[in-house]
Amino acid sequence: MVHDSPAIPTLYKKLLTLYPRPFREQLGESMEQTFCDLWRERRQQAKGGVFGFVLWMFSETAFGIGQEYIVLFKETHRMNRTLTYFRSPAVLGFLAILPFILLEWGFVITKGLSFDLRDVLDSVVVFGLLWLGVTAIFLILRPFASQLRAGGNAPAPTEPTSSNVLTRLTTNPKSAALISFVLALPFMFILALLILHIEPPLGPLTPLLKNPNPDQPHVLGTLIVVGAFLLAIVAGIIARTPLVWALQTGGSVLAHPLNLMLAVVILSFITTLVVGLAVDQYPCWIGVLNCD
Amino acid sequence: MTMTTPLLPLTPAVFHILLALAAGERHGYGIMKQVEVDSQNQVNMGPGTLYGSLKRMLEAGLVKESGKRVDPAMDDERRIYYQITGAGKKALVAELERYQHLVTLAHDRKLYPKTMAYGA
Repeated sequence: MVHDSPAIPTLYKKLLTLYPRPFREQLGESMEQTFCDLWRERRQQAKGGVFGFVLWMFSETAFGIGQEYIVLFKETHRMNRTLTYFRSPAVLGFLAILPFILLEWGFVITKGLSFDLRDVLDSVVVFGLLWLGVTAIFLILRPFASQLRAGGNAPAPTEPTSSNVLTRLTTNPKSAALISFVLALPFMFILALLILHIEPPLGPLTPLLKNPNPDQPHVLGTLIVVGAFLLAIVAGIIARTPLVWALQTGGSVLAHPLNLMLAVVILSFITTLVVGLAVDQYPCWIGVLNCD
Repeated sequence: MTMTTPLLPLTPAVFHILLALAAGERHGYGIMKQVEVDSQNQVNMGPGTLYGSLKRMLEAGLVKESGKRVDPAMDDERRIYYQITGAGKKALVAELERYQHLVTLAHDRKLYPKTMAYGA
């Protein structure tokens, strides 16, 4: 295709490679053609710039890519397999924190204390973070435990045949390390600030990120922390994926030292949060008055 | 005639694509332009929506590819054309009958301007 400015159509063609393979093979060429026609039309129009058009086209297509993966997910029963994959660690995580939940409820019931909305929300956040953290630890370590149990009898995994970009990115040690580092950075940064009691200069973001009223829950701050934590969990899973693959193919975790280091660091940060939160909240659970 | 298929009622995107193809075979760009004309620029469909819908319509047998050829109104690039199938025409007619029923209902409830002309 001849265009006076091939950069945007070239970028769009690269975006199309993110579609699932069956979709790409069936409709990719036609889709690229249609975009080129639209791009040519837009360039020929006298009025209006192209920035809005490009933003709209790329966003709309990116949304379509997400939709196709959701459809593929459901059609190939991956949703069931994924739920099964998460179920055991989630249940184990819940069982691990259940004693603390019961401890707090027991204290509230025996003392006849009132629990207002703020207390309920605080409990949900604390126990939610604890559950997520413990679940994440189980999720990250489970494949290693499976390998240890199976020993030399573990069946060799089949080489991934999918040319799916996401699969390639997460199984390649270098790209997995980069992605996991980027995803884990916000959480490690926030946790480091908390541990070192550093208040960063927020400047114009101060009204957004500092809680103006300590008596009210800070929703945005909570969402930021939870969001960063979830990203760190994903980062930990991605970081350890090449290590698990190495073990499954008869290699050693030391074959990918960068991934090993990242996985250990992320796991340490998650464990620090879990243990720190439990230690901090334990007095509240056992009935120490005026704790928060 | 009533028709029940898993795809009914049709999504707006599928409906407009079938409507555009009912007028004749078109390639992707041609479908998007026809949808703009048919909807008086009220429906703006991007390639992601168009081809996501086309994929499901191809699987459901509502449309099919009718070959690759040059559009004489454009350049000499060969483009993939799509055409509506018999099942697609039936689905379109069923959806139009559903709309007809809704318009009649609206009129009965005095929600539709009496000055607007509509078919019997």
